Amino acid sequence: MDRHTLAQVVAMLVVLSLCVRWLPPPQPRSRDVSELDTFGRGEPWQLLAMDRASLREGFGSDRVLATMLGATRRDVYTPRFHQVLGLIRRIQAEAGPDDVVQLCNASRNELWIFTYYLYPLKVIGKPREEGDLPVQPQAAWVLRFGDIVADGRKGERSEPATLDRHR
Amino acid sequence: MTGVLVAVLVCAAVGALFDRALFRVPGAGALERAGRALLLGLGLVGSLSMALDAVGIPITRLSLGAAVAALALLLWPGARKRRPAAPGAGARAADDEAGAPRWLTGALLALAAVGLAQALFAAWVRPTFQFDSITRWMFKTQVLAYEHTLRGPVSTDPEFAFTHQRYPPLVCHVANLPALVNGRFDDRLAGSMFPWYMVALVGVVHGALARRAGRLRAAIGAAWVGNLPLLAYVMYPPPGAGAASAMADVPLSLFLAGAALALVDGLEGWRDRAHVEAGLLLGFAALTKNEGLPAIVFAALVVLLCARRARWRTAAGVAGLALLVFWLLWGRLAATFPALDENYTGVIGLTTLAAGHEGPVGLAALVERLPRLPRILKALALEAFSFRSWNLTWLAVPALLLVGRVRRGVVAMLLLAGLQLGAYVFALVITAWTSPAAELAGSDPVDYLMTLTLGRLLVHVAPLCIAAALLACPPLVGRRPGPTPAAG
Repeated sequence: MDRHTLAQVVAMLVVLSLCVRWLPPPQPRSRDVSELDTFGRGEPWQLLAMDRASLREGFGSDRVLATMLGATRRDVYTPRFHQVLGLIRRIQAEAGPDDVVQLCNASRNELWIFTYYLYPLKVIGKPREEGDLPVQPQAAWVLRFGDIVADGRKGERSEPATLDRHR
Repeated sequence: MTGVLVAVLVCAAVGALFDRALFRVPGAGALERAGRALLLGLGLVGSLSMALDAVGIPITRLSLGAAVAALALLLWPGARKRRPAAPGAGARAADDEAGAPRWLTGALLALAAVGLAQALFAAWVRPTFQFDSITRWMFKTQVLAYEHTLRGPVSTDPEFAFTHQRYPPLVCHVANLPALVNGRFDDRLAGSMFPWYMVALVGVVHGALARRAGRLRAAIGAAWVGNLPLLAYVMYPPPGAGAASAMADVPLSLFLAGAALALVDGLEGWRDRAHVEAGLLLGFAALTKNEGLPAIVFAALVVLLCARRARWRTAAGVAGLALLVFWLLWGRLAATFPALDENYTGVIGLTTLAAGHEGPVGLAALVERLPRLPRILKALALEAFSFRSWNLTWLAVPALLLVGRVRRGVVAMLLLAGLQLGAYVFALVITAWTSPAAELAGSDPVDYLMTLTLGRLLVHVAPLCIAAALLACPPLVGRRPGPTPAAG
């Protein structure tokens, strides 16, 4: 086999590997789709299904957001995340522009991402790992994350979050 | 959607004017011209926005609109002058153009379009979902939309240290454009700006290959880059760096690939001012991610090793222009911000250490942590050969290079990619990075860091390596060199 033929074979394999991603998704006989997905190529079809759900639900719906975020960082986006998002939406709808929101019992990563969702409202709080910050007088809203049970999955919250309005 | 379309069209128009006025690649096709317009436009408009911030002018629709209009007016006379566009004396034209069937190149380009369409669609329908994007790139974009500057508390207050205050924010300035057009920040519109870097990347790679290697290899390159799983659609886990994930990795990949291809144009004498373009694009790369900074030094080294003449002057020019762009628009300002906890240059004793740094510094850090090297190389190899993330990319690239002819331009590209990857490995060897997330996962910090970053780091050099492999490989159709040449 000369080098031209070798190059043609390699190029053909590359192109085939690109196409194989877009073959119809495997029809699972068992619940475990990965058993049939030899090359682990399922993403485009799984993502398209997710995107269809996103379109159906409306962009940025809490359910879609929680599903997608939960798929990427399981240490942050625990099953309670959906409920917390609901409380965040309430704060966004009702808070005044100068209101301060205090997050209690939140992990460091939770503090960071909810600072994004609540921006431009000012968010205060200390990561749970560093010891909780007592409720501050300037806090108009106090969002307290639920406790974590010792026997649950790592970082998983068993109790629902609560929201108090102080002013 | 209007905000995104207007922003993209403005960027492309400014980029096209800039290209016509200053560079104008001889023999460039429509796809390459469109890719280059986006490449230059996204970098230029983002840089203009950064320049306004650097001199203390609030970034508003009026201020940035006036700056963009002034630049366009400045470029207009030069862009109108039609210069003859013939390849330079050293240029080698495409050699497998004639035999490539149109249906095949058309199908490959359609495949590339499918990958790009999926990235554009995904960005349009998905909310921002990457943790690093939410806490860094999109966070700063949102601050820009509300505060019209990044010089405020977000960059100076320790409360916002999680945004990585010294990270260069070019992509945030670009993602802020739809908010300037529409008058309000929208997570979806800001995120929808990111896949356009990949559109530009595919156009630029296709164009560079079409000029040198013909339609077929160009179309394969476009389909290959446009459907790289980690760029096009893999989103988890670990954090993907894809075009739809509002991360800065694909933009960096674009500017690095653009700079390398311009360097090769310069080395091969394909056109004038290619080194100026390379310097500018390396500056954009440094304004996009910290990883762009070492690329400036490596590009200068590549010029020194590969250029035929005026090596020192060219290397100094490329590196000098890139560093000047970076320093004026961000470096000068960022030097006053708190140091990062991932301060690699601090660990090797080149810059100030981050507050709270523990452990050895300088040579002692290197000696103590060198035993990590085999573990890092093994993890890198495992990531590279993951079909799920890369298809056959990292098997096919060396295979094509082995059967091909590695000329000076290809050596330059591979040298740049290799040095860049080497720098990443070195950073992983010396890093003192720790994280509560690693503790929560019960993982060694470096192992955890590698699961988060190795895929992304390969994204930075993958398009460059693919282009190099396709340039080196022998013609796939048509005339073959030998004792009995085929017709033509």
